[in-house]
Amino acid sequence: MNDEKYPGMSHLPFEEKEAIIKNEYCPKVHRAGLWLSLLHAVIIFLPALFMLVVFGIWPGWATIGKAFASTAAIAGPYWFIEPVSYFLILGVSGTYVSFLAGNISNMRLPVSAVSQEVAGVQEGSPEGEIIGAIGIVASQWALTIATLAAAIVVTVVVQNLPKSITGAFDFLLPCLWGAIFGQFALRAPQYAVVCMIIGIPLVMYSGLPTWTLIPIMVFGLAVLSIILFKQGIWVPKKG
Amino acid sequence: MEQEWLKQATGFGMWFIGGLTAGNALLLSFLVYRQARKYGLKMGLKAESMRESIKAALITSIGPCLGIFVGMTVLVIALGGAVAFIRESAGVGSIMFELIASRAGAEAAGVKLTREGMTSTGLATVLWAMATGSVAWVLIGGVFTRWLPKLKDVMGQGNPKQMAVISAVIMLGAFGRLLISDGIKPLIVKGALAPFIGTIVAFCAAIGWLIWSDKLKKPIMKEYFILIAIVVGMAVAQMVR
Repeated sequence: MNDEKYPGMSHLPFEEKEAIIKNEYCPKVHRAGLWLSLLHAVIIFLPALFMLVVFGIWPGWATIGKAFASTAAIAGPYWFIEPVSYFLILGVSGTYVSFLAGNISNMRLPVSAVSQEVAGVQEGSPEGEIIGAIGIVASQWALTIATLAAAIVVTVVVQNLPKSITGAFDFLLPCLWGAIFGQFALRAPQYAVVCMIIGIPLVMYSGLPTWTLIPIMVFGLAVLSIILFKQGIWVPKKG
Repeated sequence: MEQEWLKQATGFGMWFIGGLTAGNALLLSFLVYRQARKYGLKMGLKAESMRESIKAALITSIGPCLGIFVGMTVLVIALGGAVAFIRESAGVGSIMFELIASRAGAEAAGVKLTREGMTSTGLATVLWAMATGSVAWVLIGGVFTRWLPKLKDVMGQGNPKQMAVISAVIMLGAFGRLLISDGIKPLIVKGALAPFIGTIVAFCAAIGWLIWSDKLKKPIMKEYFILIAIVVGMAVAQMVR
């Protein structure tokens, strides 16, 4: 039965396969993953350091702190939620590659699932760890080619567009915010209305420093949603 | 004439850093692949299964890569190709995060996130915001992966339904604030109708497209909703201007 459902599974005893993963495969992957992730944590700062060292441009701690506060208010919870949430699906190797190179929910998760399906192995098994890792690695090769192509092609296209079209780019951000707000408004419409009712006077008339507005709105709405959820108000019907 | 900040953002140095960033991710992927293949064979997996999984992964990647290609357009327009390549080839990958960080950096530096409004200091602040805002993902993924199974047990008490609501609400708070600043405030303060109209059109187009793709049961259509919404929104806003 299991052979029919998962034809790609190895016939070695489970304990033996588990031992190979745990004692031989994982230590090597942990070593490479740890060191290259630490290296990547440094590489991530190179563009900013390049501006400092080569062009002498330093915005100052206060400016960077403000930018960080706004960014961290939104991204902060996801730093912890995502690795924990996705670990069981991505496996050890998949987690290292995915959190180093991103595009998890839109690319790594479907790729991991499809690879295991095609290879006929069971998710969460030692074979699933290996096949999922191979799939995620292949997706990184595809991603590198796609992003390089996009960066070059779009640059060339944008440079050659007439002024009447490039003028429309002035409205890129408001349109983008509108589109993404619409996406999440579909998931929690009541909160979208609350967000506008509270947000417009807050942004327009509160006089608070602009960098504080995102943290206030994000945490304010998050706390409100927790309180209301506990009282059974605006709980989504579908899980 | 090309602005100074754009020269800095698209010069050889920035592309070289892009090569380093993508190269490090590729190096990790090759090391993982070597170990996975070696121990997969030792475990009794067939070489053919592994080849098939690579083929399936590459085919599955085409759709998301098209989505990433489209999403990157926004980042290339805002900050140039090299920065977009650095961030999307091996950064967070989420265009939403990159734009939030870019907007936060520009705002902190007191400049606009447009080609005309950006300055060298603004660009540097954007790059610091992107780096400081994303390094935690790499560190948590890289350093703590070995302990994640235990952490998951501790955090397992969370209610997935509640988490879904909180996640949506966090995004509404963040993007609601940006929408008000860039779409509604210009209308109230300066009487600028075009950005407001663009925002509303994009909002409606996004919702309409998402609902339509659900009705047609074609989830792949959802990858293009942002592109469709912003193109329609920008076109209408430009006509109203």
